[in-house]
Amino acid sequence: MSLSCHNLGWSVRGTSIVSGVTLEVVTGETLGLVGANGSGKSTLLKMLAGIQKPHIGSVLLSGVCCSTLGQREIARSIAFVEQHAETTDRITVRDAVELGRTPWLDGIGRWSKFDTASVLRALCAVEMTSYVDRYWHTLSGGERQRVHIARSLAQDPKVLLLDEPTNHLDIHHQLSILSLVHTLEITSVVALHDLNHATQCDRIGVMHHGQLIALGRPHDILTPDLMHQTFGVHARFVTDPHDGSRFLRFHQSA
Amino acid sequence: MGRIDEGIIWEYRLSRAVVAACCGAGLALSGVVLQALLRNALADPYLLGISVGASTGAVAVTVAGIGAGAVSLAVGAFAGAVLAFVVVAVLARAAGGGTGVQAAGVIILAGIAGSQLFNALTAFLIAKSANAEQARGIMFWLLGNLSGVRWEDAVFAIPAALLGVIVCVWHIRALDAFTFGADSAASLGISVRRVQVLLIGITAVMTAAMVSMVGSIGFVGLVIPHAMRLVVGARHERLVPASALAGAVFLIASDILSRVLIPGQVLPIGVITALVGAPAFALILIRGRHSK
Repeated sequence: MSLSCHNLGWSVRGTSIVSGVTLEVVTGETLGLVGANGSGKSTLLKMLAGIQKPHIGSVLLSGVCCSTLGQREIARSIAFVEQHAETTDRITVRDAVELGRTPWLDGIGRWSKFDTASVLRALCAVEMTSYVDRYWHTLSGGERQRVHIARSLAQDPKVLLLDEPTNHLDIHHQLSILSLVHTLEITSVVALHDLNHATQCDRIGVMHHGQLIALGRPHDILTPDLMHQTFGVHARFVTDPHDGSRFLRFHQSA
Repeated sequence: MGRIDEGIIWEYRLSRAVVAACCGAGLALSGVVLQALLRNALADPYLLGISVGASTGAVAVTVAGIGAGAVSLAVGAFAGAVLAFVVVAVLARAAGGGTGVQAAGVIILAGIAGSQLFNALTAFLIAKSANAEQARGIMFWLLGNLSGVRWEDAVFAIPAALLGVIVCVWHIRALDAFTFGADSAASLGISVRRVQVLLIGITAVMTAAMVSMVGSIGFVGLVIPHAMRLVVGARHERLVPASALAGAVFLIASDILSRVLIPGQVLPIGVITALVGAPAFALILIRGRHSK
């Protein structure tokens, strides 16, 4: 399922937060969104997810305008993991992941074996099966993040939107979440801070002051000039002599 | 059993128990809904200014004589409750809007402001117009009073409570979806604005109906949902029926206690709910902490 947006804009009290964003993510593609703090990544993701209604422009899901779809229809296609979703309720990991089945269940519709299977698959994907009965407040930040991702997977989405999913995660789980996103055969858009993680995406979009200033393959896009302009740092690619892969090295602008 | 006893049970005791059960269930459910949707543990039906508004309406009718005898205390209380809720809702909308954490905070602050305003109005009316006898009667009503309840009230109370139960049961998954906030609920396919307006509206109507019949009975809407969360968990498929049932039982028991505690005298039921409820809740809190 493809996701696209056309001339998307959102502003608050006259200040433009996102403006004129047009992009298309094709089926199965992983798009990384990078940009400095406050560059509009989260707002863009929320609009793509159908949570925030755009002030200008439109979001299209396989060519169908999202504003003509109901919230539940959108949720059956798009899952979204926001940045800081917390609760003080005493719920277990299983309770949290089961919430992901909400769009598939009617008001008082029956829970089926199929729902249970989805929940288990999702827990398995983020390596949290042994935590099912743990209470939310006993989990660490990284464990909570993995439960959120499991909840979004339990939604059986065709498009996955993740807002900085590797925050709070240790290096093992950072890499396993990213490789999970890559191996999933669903369309995904991931906001990332770590540019080296972003280089593993199929394409990268760079946000700067609310606008999408570059969109393309990682090694074409992340030029020293662009990184100086958007992040205010000097950066260059270094080649790993071991396997020839390239990674970014940064240093502070003088 | 004599004919008189039979008459007392049918005409007075049973109607009173039924109304108490409906009020308990309605107030407890209102608490469940508001705590879930506003993501605030302190939310309860009185927070939205509803009960204070009802008191103002009741005092305006009985003491200040507004309506010139044409409207009853219950009608005045209902009108006051709805008016106060509208004031709070308009204030919250003007101050915030949106669906996020900030909006939930704004509605609570608006509720506090509205409550203060209507409290002041009530005190003003009492000070200006009431004689000592009236003031005592009003105090009794303000703390909750089931004495005057008859079957005519039950005809009003039963549909109000039933409506609340049906709407809440229909929305158990929507209430669950708010666990991680309004944005998360939206991403799970919930029409956040529609659910908020419908459920908070039902809460307002239900509380206004209950308060106009029996006065403001505190504590039930705040404490029963918390107590039930510790007993049956936070999932609404169990929390909604458990809270409705516990609220009903709690209020019937409190009413009986209010009549038998001091022989020959009836205490305001609000006094009993707080006297019994507060220590019971403290116990549950402490036990809940040790069990996990």
